[in-house]
Amino acid sequence: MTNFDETTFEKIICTALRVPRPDASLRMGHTPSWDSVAHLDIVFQLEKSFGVAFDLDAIADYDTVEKLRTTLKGLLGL
Amino acid sequence: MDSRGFSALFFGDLESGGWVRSLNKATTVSSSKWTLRDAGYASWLREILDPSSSARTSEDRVWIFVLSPRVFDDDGFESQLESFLMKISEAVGTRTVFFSTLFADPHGVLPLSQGPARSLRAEQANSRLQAFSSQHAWFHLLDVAAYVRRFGFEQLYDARFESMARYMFHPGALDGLATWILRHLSALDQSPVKVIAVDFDNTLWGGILGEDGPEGIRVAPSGAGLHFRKFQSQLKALKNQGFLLVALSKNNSSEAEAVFSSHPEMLLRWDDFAAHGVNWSPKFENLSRIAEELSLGRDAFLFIDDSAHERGEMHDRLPEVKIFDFPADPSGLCRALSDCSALDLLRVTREDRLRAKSYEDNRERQKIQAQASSLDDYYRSLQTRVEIQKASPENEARLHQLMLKTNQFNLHSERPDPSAFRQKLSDSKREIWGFRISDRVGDAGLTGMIEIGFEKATSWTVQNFLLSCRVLGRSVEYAVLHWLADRATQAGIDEIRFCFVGNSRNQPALDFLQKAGLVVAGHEAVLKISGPDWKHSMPSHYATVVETGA
Repeated sequence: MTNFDETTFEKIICTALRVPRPDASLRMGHTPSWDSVAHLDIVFQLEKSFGVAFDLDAIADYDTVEKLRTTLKGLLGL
Repeated sequence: MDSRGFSALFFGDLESGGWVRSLNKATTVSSSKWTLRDAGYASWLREILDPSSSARTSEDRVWIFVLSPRVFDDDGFESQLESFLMKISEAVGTRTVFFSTLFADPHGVLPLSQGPARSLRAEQANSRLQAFSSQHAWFHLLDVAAYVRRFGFEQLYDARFESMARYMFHPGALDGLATWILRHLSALDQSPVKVIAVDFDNTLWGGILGEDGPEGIRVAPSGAGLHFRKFQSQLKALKNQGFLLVALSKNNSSEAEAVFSSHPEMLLRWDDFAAHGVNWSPKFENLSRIAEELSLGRDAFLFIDDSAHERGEMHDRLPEVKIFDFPADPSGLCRALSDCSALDLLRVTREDRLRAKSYEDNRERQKIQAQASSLDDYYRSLQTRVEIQKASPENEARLHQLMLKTNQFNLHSERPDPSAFRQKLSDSKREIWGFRISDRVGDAGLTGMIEIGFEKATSWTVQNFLLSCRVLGRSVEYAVLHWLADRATQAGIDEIRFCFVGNSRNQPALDFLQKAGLVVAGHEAVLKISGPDWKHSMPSHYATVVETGA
C-alpha cells in the first residue's frame, strides 16, 4: 500500500489517454481515446503504482477521472 | 519498403485490443514506424478460412498470430491448426507471418497426473509449427512459450483481466510482450552484425591476465568463473550460427594465446577467432585493420568490452561500430547477450553456418596464392565451380538475406523487405538467380545473386548483381558475366544494361563494371553483345559454370 500521489495519478491518466491534462470532462466511452482497452490499462497502472487491487467487476462504475481518484483513495483508506 | 509500409495486422483467439494497444505503445516508445491493427475478437481462424474476409483483402505487410492456452480447451484444435496451415499458404500473398508458439495453462486441474499430457499437446503443436516454418521462409515463429517460461506465467497472468476482458496476459505483461514482438518486426528489415569483436580480461575470463597470471584468472564451471564460461559457451554457439569472432585485447599475444591452449576450463580456442588484434595498440585501430582484412564494413562489428573507457573510445573513433551494453555485474553477461538486438536473426541459413569456415578457407587460399607462379595459375589451381540456380522456395530466404547483407559487390543498396522481395520473385518479367560457389578448398554456399529484368525485346536489364565479399577475387563475377551474355545472345538480345547506383561502400561493383569495359553513365552501364567481339574485351575467368535446379 502506497500513499496517494496526485502527480503520479495524473501522469498515468494523461499517458494512457494521450491528453495534456486530466480534465474533469473526460469520460470513458465519450472521450475518443478512453475506450475499454485504455480503461483496463489505466486500472492496471494505478494498481501497480499504488499497490492496490480494483474490483474489476465494478469497472464501469469509475468511468471519470474524479471517480477513479475517489475509488483509488478509498482503496488506500483515505 | 513496399507501398504497404509498416502496417501489421494482429490476430488472436481471445480479445486482441490489449495486444494492439501495447504494440502501438511499444512502437511509439522505440520510434518504430510500425502501426498495428486489430483483426477482431477470436479472429485467427475465421479471418483466414474466409476468402472474402477483411483481413485477407487487407494491405497489411505483416500478419501476427498469438494464441492463448485456451485453444486447447477445444478438442478439435489440432485439426483447426491443420486447416489454418493449409489455408494460410494461399492467403498470405507476399506478406510475412509471425505465429506464436503455444504453451499449456499451468493452472489446469490435476497437475500431477494431467499436466504432462497437456504440456505434450502444446509441444506437439509447436513441433508442427516448427516444421511448417522450416518449409516456408515467410512463416516465422514468435516463441511466446519461451517468453512465458523466462518471466513466469504467474507474473504475466491475472485471472481478473481474463474474466473481465478475455485477456490472457494482464496489461503490464502485454507491454513487455509487445516490446519483445516488436524486436521481431524490426529484424525483418535490419541487417544484423556479422562480427563480434571481443575483449579478454574481465570479459572472456574474470581478472586481468597481466596482473593475475594464467592461474589467477577466473573461468570455471562453478563459482565466480561460471558466468565467463557460460559467456564463452554463448559466443561459441554464435560462431556456429555464422557470426565471426574477432579478438581485441590489450595483452601480450603469446601469453594470451597460451591461456586458450592450456587453461583447462576455456571453451573458446585461439583458432575460433577469425582474426586477432591482441597487442597494445588502440582497439579502434585493430578493429579498422581487421575490418579491411576481412573485407567487411566496420558497421558489421559488435564490440564487447567490460571497460567503459574502451567502449567510449571505440564509439568516439568509430561511431559506426555497435557497442554491446556490458552489464554492471558479470552475472548479467548471458542475459545481456541474449537481449542484444544487434544479433537478431529471424532465420539462420546454411550459408550463415558456413561463414566462419569460409574465412578459414580464404586463409588457405592465400597460402595457395603465395605459392602460385602467377595469378592465372592460382585461379586455375582453385578449380572454382559456379552452380547457377533459379530462385525457388528452397533458396528464397538466403537470396533475400544476401540482398540485405551484401554491401561491397552490390550494384546498388536496395534492401527490399521480405514482401517486396517475394513480389520480385513472382514478377513474370524478371528472373532472380543465385550462385553456389565452391572450389577445391571449400564450399562457400549460396553467395551470389543476379536479378534480370526482361521488359524490353532487344535488351535485358541487370537490376542487381551481388556477390558476398567472401568469394571476391576468384574471377567468379566474370564467369557469371560470360554465362549471362551467352544466354542473352541465345535469346537474340543485343545489349545488357546494368543498373548502378554508387555509394560509399560499393566501389568493388564499380571496379567490376569498369574492368569489363563498361562505362557508367548516370545510373546505367551498357554491354553491347550484338557483335562477335564482345568476348575479347571481357576479362577471362577460370570457373566452371553449371546451371542447375535449386
